Amino acid sequence: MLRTNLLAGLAVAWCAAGSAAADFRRLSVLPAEVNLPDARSRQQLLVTAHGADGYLHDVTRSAEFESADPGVARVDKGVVRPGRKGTTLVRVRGPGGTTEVKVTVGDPAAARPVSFVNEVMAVLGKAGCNAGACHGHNSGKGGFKLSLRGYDPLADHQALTHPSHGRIDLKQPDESLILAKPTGRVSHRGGKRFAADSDFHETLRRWVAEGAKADVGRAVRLQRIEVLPGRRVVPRAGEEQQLVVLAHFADGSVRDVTELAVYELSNEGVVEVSPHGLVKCKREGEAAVFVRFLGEMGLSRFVVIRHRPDFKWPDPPANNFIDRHLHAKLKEIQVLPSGPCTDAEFLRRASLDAVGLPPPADEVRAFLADARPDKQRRKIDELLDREEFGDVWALYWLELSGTTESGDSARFKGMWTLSFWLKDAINRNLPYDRFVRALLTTKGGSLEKPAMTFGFNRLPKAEVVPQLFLGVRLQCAECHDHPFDVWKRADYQALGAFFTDIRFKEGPGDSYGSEGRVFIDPERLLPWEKGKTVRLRLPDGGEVEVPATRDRREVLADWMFGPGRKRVARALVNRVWGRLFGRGIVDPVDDMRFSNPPANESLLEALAEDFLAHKYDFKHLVRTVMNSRAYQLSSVVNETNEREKVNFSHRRLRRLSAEQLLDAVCQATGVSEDLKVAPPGVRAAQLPYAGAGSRFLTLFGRPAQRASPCECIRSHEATLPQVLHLLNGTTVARKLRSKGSTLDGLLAAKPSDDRLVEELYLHVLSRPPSDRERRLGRDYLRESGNRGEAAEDLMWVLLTSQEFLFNH
Amino acid sequence: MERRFTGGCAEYRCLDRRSFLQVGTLGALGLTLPDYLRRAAAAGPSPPAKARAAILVFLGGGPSHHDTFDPKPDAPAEIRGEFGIVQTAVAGVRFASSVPLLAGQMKRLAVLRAVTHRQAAHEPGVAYMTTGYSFRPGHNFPGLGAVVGFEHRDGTRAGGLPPYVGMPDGAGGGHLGPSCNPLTVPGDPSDPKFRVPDLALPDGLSESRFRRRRDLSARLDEEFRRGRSSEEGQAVDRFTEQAYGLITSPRARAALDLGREDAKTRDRYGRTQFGQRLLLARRLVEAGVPFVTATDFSWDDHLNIFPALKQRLPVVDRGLAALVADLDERSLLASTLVIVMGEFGRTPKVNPMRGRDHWSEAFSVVLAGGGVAGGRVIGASDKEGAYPRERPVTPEELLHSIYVLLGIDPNKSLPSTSGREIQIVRDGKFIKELTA
Amino acid sequence: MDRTTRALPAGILLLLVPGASLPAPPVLKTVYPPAARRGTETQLQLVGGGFTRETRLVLPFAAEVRGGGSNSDVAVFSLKPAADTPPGVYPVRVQTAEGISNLRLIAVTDVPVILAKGPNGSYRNGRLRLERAQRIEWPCAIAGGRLVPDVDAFRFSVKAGQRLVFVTETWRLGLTPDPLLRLRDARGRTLAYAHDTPGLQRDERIDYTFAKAGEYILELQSTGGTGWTNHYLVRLGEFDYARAVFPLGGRRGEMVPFRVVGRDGKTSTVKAKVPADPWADHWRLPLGDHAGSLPWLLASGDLPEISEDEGRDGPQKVAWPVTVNGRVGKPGEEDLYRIAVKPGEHVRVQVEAYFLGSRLDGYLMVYDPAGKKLLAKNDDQVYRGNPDPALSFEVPKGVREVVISLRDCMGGGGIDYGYRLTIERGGPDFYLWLGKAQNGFRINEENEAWFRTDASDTLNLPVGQEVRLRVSVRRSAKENDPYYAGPVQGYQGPIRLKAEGAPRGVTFRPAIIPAGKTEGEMVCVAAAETPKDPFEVVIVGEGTRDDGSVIRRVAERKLFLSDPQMIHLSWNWRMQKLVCVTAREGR
Repeated sequence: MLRTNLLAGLAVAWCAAGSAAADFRRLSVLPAEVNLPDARSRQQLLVTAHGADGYLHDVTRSAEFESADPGVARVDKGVVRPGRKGTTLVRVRGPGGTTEVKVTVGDPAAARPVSFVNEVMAVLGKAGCNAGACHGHNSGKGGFKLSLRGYDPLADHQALTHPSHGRIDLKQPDESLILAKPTGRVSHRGGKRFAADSDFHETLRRWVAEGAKADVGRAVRLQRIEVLPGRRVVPRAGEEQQLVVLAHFADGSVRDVTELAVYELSNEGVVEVSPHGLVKCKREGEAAVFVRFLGEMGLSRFVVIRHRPDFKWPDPPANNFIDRHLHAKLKEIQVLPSGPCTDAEFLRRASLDAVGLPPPADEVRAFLADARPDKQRRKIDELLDREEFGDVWALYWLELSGTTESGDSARFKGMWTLSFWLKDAINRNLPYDRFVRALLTTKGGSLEKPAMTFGFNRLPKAEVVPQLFLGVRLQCAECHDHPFDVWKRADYQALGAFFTDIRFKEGPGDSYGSEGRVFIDPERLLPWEKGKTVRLRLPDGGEVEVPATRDRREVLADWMFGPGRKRVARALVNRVWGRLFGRGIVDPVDDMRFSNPPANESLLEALAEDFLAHKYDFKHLVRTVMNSRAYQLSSVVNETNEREKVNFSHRRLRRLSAEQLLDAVCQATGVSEDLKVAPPGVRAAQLPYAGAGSRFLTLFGRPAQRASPCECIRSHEATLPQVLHLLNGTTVARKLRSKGSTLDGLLAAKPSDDRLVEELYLHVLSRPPSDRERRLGRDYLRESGNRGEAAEDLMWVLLTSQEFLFNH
Repeated sequence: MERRFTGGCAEYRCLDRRSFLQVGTLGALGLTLPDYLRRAAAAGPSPPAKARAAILVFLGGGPSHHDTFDPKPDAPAEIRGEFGIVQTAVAGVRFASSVPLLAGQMKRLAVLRAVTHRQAAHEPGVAYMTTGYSFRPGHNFPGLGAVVGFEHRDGTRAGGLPPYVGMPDGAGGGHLGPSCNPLTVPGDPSDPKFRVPDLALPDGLSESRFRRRRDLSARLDEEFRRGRSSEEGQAVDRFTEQAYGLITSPRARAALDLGREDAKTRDRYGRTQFGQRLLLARRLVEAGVPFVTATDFSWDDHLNIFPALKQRLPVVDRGLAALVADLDERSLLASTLVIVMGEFGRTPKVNPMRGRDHWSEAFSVVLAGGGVAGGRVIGASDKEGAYPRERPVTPEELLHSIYVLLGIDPNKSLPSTSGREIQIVRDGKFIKELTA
Repeated sequence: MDRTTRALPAGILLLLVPGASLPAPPVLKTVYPPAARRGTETQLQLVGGGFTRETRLVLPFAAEVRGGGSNSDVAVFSLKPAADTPPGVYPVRVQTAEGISNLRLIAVTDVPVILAKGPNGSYRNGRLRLERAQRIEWPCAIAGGRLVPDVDAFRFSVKAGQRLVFVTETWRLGLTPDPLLRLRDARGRTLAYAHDTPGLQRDERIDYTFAKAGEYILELQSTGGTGWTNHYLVRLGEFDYARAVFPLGGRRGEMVPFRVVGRDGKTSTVKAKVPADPWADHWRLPLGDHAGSLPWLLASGDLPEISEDEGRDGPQKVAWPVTVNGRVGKPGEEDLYRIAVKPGEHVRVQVEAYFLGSRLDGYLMVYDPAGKKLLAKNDDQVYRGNPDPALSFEVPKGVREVVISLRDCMGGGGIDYGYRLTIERGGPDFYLWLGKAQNGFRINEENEAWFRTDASDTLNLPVGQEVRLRVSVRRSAKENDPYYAGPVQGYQGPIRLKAEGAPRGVTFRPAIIPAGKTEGEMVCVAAAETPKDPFEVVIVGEGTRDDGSVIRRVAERKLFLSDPQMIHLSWNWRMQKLVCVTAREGR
């Protein structure tokens, strides 16, 4: 299969090169100069043809290479290998012309011992030996354990060389198990990992032959890796791109590690990558190839588009900087954004997002009648000033807080007061840095200081802080360096140190729960130790010395909000964006991994900068986003953007959340739901509890337990039982018919059929009907023998419609 | 998803319904050269399908294979555990004394004793065993039932019933999208007040009026859909269609009504939540539903495993034995594949808290019916029940075989919501011993 | 309040009190309203069982009472407390020929008592319907009921700059709702809220200064609570209230000047004599000028008492046994006391603070003179969730002096962080209570019925008939009791039981709880000549340690007025005395 793939790929490349040869302007090669210091050096060349269409095309596999002096350097399929000491030129010919590269070969005879850290470890990683499913498993495999993905070379050296394991045979290197097993000479449950005539085999063999020495701490340090190219816009699916990975060492040397690097994808489907770093573009979309080599990471980003030569960017107006950043990207990928939404759509969308409910009929009428050109901006200001704005965001944070009315971890009171505290903080527009500081550093009792309740469950786990406030999932780093991010195990431990002396206890309680109390271990400091200071390692490597009396959580907060630090701001603007658009600029919103780059880095950065410039002003942020044209786009797609999902080229349909839907049904029908734990008429979105309330909420995806500080505990998916319940369950049916319902009131006023249809549309869908809908509704009312029943049917149809079910 | 928390580990407690539906989001496996090469391996020929339906009994948490289908009577006490052994209906095959009724059904069962994988944590384990795929970052693979449901999405067979039912839940649609999620049937069917919610029309609503509503709805909602397309909307469309089918089909409603079953049969399965779920599963299969999952997430016995098993195993033994026998008596067994599995087994050694911990290196899966030849044991674990001794079976092979038995080509690719075609199972091979 | 409290369907009552028609001592479930203004007549509705035409109210204050005769489960009395009754909380009981009932509490106020009238509060689409709020005049005390799950709202007017105090007296009256108190402006915006205010334990208080004149809304929303005692009382007015009282008790029989700190820190002194009653550990000090407070619970002890020397530097040297009245005066402050000890000696250190309305969450440590930590204790003197610590230790070899340290574990300190620190001789000890040995502090079906309806602090003695009284002992920590986390007591020897205070004609036969056993039984008989008025009896247990010293402990009766888990909260009533009456001759 591999063969056929490669052949097919080659064929495509040839075709592209052949058919469009005349359209190439120029040929270039990377790296511009090749240095091969010793016998084990190699260099993959990258040949790029500059197309007349303005795009770059990889022609590495179709180019022809020729070494001016094959005795100094050989070239085979774009890979240069050393011969004897000297310099020469490699000529490259391909579509678009010819060019040449200078090659310098050091002394291949000069012995360079194999580096355990830089070479052996790289082989173990690439061959998969230290993968989680193999010897990297935390209990090893087959009695042999390596550190997961090689985060601990010292331990690995001990494991490899320990006499009891017998992996190494210094006298007869070829008999070593580390050669016999992976090549399949001796039975190996992990199967054959590489061939006996491969470079991998040779590296390991030489290392053993040279005495299997460790150079941990002595080996020249790997500083970074460079992935070429870093980004490509590919004009059509089917094209291929070879990657080149260069390792930069502290001594200034640069090595080609394309064959040793490990490749992963940020997401499936758009591109594929081979173990040799060959990327194949499968379909339109965006993907990043994540490259790992010895703990260093790099990315190569691919934007695969369908190039339309006749594409014209219509230059739609921008409301603010957000639109400028989005438009730049859309223009590049040749996607036309949808048009603006209607006034009624805007009002419903903005209301649902800002206050959690669709607008009532009267508000719709007033808004539609408002002729002022800036009525959108005014409406946004008005919505952000409503007390329900606090309800919406309090629920958001409550859900992440882990506070639940029951369950092992949360047998304490204060759910209502925490929710009040959150609402109050949001509505007073407490700057976000102070908001986070309160949640992070409050100590005392949960009843007096509700913000503490937030931490009571959550903060003992060091990883919760980065996930909530930095948008980083650090769980992996508890046991080993994060495999897909820059975080090391030491960072996790550093973070933990900020919480080591925080204590929790259950305070006084009653049948409804207990008070929770957070305090600093009083025994941390004995009376005669007051002047002491401690050194704390910061999660990103720095160190800070603080008085031992200081609450270390405050030190952490100082770090998070210190000058020049943007992580908190980036994480929050991304969360807010995710909430308002249904998808984060980085998605999932709390997974701002190195290997999961943002869809639009410049937008994310600009939003964060703006948020910082406004001193963490939360309402300003929400207002800015809601005022963008992007927020006010229609959900109706055009031919260019219907499959575009990550660049906010159109409004994404989102099912109303469980609370929004129930509250919307109650408002439309005029009949409240019995939520059992709150007085009638209180909205589902105002409940501080997780499990309590009505079955409806659970059915529509409200998490029954706030088990993880992740938005993903809430389900937005549709299910059959949901639909069954909407169509046929008690919630809608009972509310439609209750005494005192909206329908009751409308019918009692004996309106004309026309008027009745209009009112029903306004009450349920928050818009007037179209002419066709008006006519269909009128006919239905007229043809029915029973006006009451017919009106009920019409209202039922609207309440169960997709338009009602979705925020669009 | 109901679950008892008596002995579950912390990681397990956090695994909520949502994560079960979205298996496959944690952890990741790097794509290394050999993995890539291994994928080149192709699958062998497969026998013709006999099964028209499957019932997956998922014992979540990981049931102990030592104390059920793979007893080690000669091992030291700390491995052997507290159960003795029982001879099954097939000479030479022994079960733990905890499942005597199933032992009596051995002629109808195939026991795989060397199923093996390396995902000894709940979430990855559940994902692997129900999807056939190990973890990939940012990707959710569809569960068995979701794939079967997708293949039967025309819905013709089940007469109004959805093609995939989960009691109370089942692995979700993954990259096939939410529309492949199961119809979940919450609640305890052994409760006299049990009813599948929202099936009967509200009082005072006639079927004809319901139809009128539906017609009006089709005409009015159309305007909104024009120019808008989304996976979510399509899922709602499809569920709406299924919902109308369910509501208006007397046959579908009857299938879900346990009250129509005679008391003797109900007793036979045991008047327990587990037993009655199996009975309901049989009724659904009888009515044409191609895939039913009955999950029970109480098997994570890290502490005091023996008292717990002594309570639970009789219920399971009775229910499963009744299911297999009942299906056979109704001539349904030949066309119905019954699968009994958990995400893994449990450690050979009983821990100091008298529990057994996670163990995925070797454990047992039981199959019956659907063309599987009964009365045989496939594979064996070593003398401690720790590692495969012969014929190891990977989740890929198991799922591949299940699909083949159900007449679905596992090598086929299905469209994911991301637009890409993804193979149902990779690297699988049919387990020939099942039918040979 | 959408549903009215007053029309209680009698049929339901009969169902809930099985055998209500048989002659039995009366049971009192609720009194509504739970308050009466002194000098004013108030109609009280009593719900319970076993009422007869001869039912009378038993009150600890002078009052005019009319009405009440009833053979049903509802009795109506008209109550007019004497005009000079000190405002406070008082027990109410009823008595019939069959005996005396359990107690319920009633507040006597000096402000009008207003009844909440429904419907006065409701929500629509998440907004309080302001137009329905009931208009009230203040100062007043509002009594309402059936708050679950409902909301009551009241509208009142203020002038600019007026400062009002809103305070619930709900669970302090043994009532079940756990309300959330919220103040809104006339547009419905939330201005302030309170739920379980520190110092008031389960009750709440809002102290708010209104910048603008106008109408405002007071809202009460329940967060839990059900049953027959589902009423509340909320008081509002321009009251001062006490933030702290110091010291928090005194030695029996001594005259003590108590400094009362008002809401703004102004201090006044109330002189009072600590009751000499040897059987009462606690008493209540009325705080006349602080109408926003109920009387303050204080302790009484037998040991010499001293005050903390607040001006000192370093540990304060104290002679012991002693009770030190101190205060963690500044945030983070650590109070140190140095005592002379002998190796091998047992020392017991106990803090009383939270229980007496202090905000201190004490953390006790013991150092040796070199500064080495010997012991530390945070919490959980007797029941889970009680933040008052206690510890006992044996002095190690070579140690002749130890330093005892006390601070607030959350680093707090201030005027309201007072404490009583008792240092006394330790050693084996035990704890006695009246009732079953089985832990009675968890709600289960059996004791749910018991704590709500049984006359749990009374003993009705049918003349001539033997009554058995169960006495239980806890000898060591964590004896099948998840709620107990106290210091190990460890006395295993026999315990001699006797009764104190029985009048002539009533015999309590002495009994013994044998060594190691956890339960004993006393038998008591009343002769025909026994007085008919209620009298109080104390059950005392005595054990003798190996060294010959005697431990005397009073058997307590825990009275769970509204919630059996709240035993450690000071406003629940912990009875050391049993209220007895003789009843009609036994059958």
